[in-house]
Amino acid sequence: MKSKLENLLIALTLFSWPFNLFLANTKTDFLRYLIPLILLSISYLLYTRKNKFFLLPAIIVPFFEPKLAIFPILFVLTYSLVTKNFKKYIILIILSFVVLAVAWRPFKGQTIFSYDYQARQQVLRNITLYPNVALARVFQNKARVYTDKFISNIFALTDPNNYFFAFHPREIIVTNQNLYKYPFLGIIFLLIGIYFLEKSSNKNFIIASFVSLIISLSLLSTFDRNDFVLWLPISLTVVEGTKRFFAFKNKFVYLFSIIFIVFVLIQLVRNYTAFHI
Amino acid sequence: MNNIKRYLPYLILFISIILAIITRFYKLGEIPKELYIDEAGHGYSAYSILKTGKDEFGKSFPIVFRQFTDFKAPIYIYLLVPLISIFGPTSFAVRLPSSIFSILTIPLIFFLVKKISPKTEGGYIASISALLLAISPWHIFYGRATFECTVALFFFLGGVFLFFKGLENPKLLILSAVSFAIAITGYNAQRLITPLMAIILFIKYRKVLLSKTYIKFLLLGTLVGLAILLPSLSIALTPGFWARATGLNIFSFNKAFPPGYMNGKTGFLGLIVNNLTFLSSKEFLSLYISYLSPRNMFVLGDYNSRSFFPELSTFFLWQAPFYLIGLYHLIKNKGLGELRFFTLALLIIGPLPAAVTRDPYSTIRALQLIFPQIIIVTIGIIAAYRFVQKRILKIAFVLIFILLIIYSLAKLFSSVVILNEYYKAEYWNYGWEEVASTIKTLNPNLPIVVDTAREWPYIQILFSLKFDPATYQKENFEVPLNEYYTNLNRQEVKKIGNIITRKIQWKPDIKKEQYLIGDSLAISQQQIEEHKLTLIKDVYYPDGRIAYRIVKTNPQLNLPSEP
Repeated sequence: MKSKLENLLIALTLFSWPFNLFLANTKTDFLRYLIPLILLSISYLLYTRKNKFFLLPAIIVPFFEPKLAIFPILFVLTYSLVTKNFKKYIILIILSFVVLAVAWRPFKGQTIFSYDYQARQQVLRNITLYPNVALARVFQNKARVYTDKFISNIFALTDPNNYFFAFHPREIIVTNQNLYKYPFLGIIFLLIGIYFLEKSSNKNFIIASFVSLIISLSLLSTFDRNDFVLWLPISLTVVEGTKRFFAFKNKFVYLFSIIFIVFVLIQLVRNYTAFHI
Repeated sequence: MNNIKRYLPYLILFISIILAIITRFYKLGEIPKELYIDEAGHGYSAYSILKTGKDEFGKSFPIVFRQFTDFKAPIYIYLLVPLISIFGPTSFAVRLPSSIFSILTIPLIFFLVKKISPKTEGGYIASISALLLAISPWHIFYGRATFECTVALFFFLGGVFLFFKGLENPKLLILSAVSFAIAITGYNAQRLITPLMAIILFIKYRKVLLSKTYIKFLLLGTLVGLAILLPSLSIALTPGFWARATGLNIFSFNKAFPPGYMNGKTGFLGLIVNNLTFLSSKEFLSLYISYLSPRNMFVLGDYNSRSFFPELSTFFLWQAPFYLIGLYHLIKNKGLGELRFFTLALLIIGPLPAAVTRDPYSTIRALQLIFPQIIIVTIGIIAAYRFVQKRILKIAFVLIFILLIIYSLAKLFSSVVILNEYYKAEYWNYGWEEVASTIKTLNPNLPIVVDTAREWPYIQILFSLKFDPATYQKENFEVPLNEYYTNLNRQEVKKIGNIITRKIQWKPDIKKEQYLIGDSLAISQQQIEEHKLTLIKDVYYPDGRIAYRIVKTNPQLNLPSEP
């Protein structure tokens, strides 16, 4: 009974993001965002089977989604750092650079490094407010145009509100579809999952894929919908958290599960209604 | 060497206090340049109490102060009365209590953290916490302008400190209760946080508190605390006492439905998709999480345009990694003892007053969170320092830390002194002082109409002109005094000598010789030409936009032409 309930909760939690993305986009677009996730999932399946070529599917992601051109290098590098085995992956790192070179042109135009006239003008205007140029240059310089965007993206991508509440309910983000990615009560599973991440058998894969994806997506001028690829590391953490949650011997587990299921069903009906009724 | 180690925390505390004095007092009455509407309201209420013993509505020594559409906590305003008698009704005097209590909080956090930290690290955790609080953009923001929350926060922390001291010397429990009671009276958010913290402390230390030696002091303290709260409790059931809370509460649906409410969905489908329990729970949890979110803490900051310094959030960006490291250590390291308990308890209850109100990240209502979050950053810094093994790297770590503090101070100068004055002038109601000084030069025999279409500037005019409160009370009527706390109606039209604040009505107003004052929307260039007005003065924001216009009507030029 308990394990069935656990599986039901996991299924409901993981279903939301793909379901909402599917409803909010055309089938072609949905497929475009899905392919990188499929490749990363293959990578994960190989990883769980201890296949030594498990990183390869992730390396070919940029051929399908050039916006993630930098991801293979970061993924291999982060994984080698996490496992403290750099030499073993040197060939894959070189291969990732080749992939980056191939996908470079379509990737370059979609990054935070593309020319932003307004931001530059703002910097120039701010400089005139300072008593001297030296002080102005410390805080108002063109490098900031890029670093500000990068920082803004990285914090948005690591904000729990992004995944469980479509940012804040009253927050309007023009460049974001503000999709409900996970049921909001699922945040409890994520937090438990993070707490027990150290003990997870998937720890290295989760950390390497999450960190490399966060950095890759932060380099994009708009990461919305491309962030669907994050479904895998976040879901793995949520699954870990759900399992740990059900390990608690407490009646509260059942009570929470009932509330969780009711709220998920309401959310699913709401999403379907928003797009189709 | 041992002596250096022993006195280093105190040296850091001393530096922190100096930095706090500089960051809070530097051009206090001049930056921000003018008092915004609530500051002027506090200042004039205190001025009125000083001169007449009544507030501007004629109420003798109110328990909570009427202002615009809500009521203000009384402590700050009563603190202002002696200061205004010394310094006069100036911006400096009105902001002084915030600054003083903001500075006093620095040694208080030092001694509290030192008291509840493990002895081996207590001095360093305490002194770095004090240093980070001294340069905190969040704390400085509320310490440089008129905000009751800063004063209430001091008494809240004081209450906690005296409680822990009281566990050794039970007499201090009485003082702890006094401090808690003042905090509750001092600011709305503390009405929730302080009792919650008191309950948590009681539960945690109930065995000690209920022992023979302590119980009498505990009871006495409770009685004294209740006695201080008595005036507030006497009006606790009036609409005035709860005006702010009911207006902003996410669970009151009179004003607005929760976000995500689908209009037009009725019947069974409506029952499901517009389920208020679901929508409100989601909003509450989202708001709650937002107060712990690094994105809000280190990048976005407050959503209210006035409530943050440009290019700064509540914490410096460089503190973000230390926050994460500190959080990890706080949760995992049970050896931190009472510090861990206090930090986690306040971290958990801290967002509650803010999370039940609509604004996405209200730093004023969540100000109490500054303590646990600063302690967490401190724990992160110390953990990172301990992680570094080599001596040379440890020295490099300290040097980088010092550089970061210097950088942070420069960043504060850039944001508070330069950018805030330029970009935020409008939100700080810039311009009324210049308007008031121009009014003094106008023909006193002509009436002056000040437009109220978008603002309620009467309080800024009263404060800037230092208008006699007794005359104002005689000439204006808001509500009967017996309905002061219950009747929330307000009068739109105010009379200040020859000045009337109301909406401009062009047709009748141009037929009378008088002055009109309004923003550039109320009195546009087109209206000046169309109504043949004489422009007396344009008051500009620092960025060159027109803030307010002062014009004179010319009825003789607007006579209807003969057919």
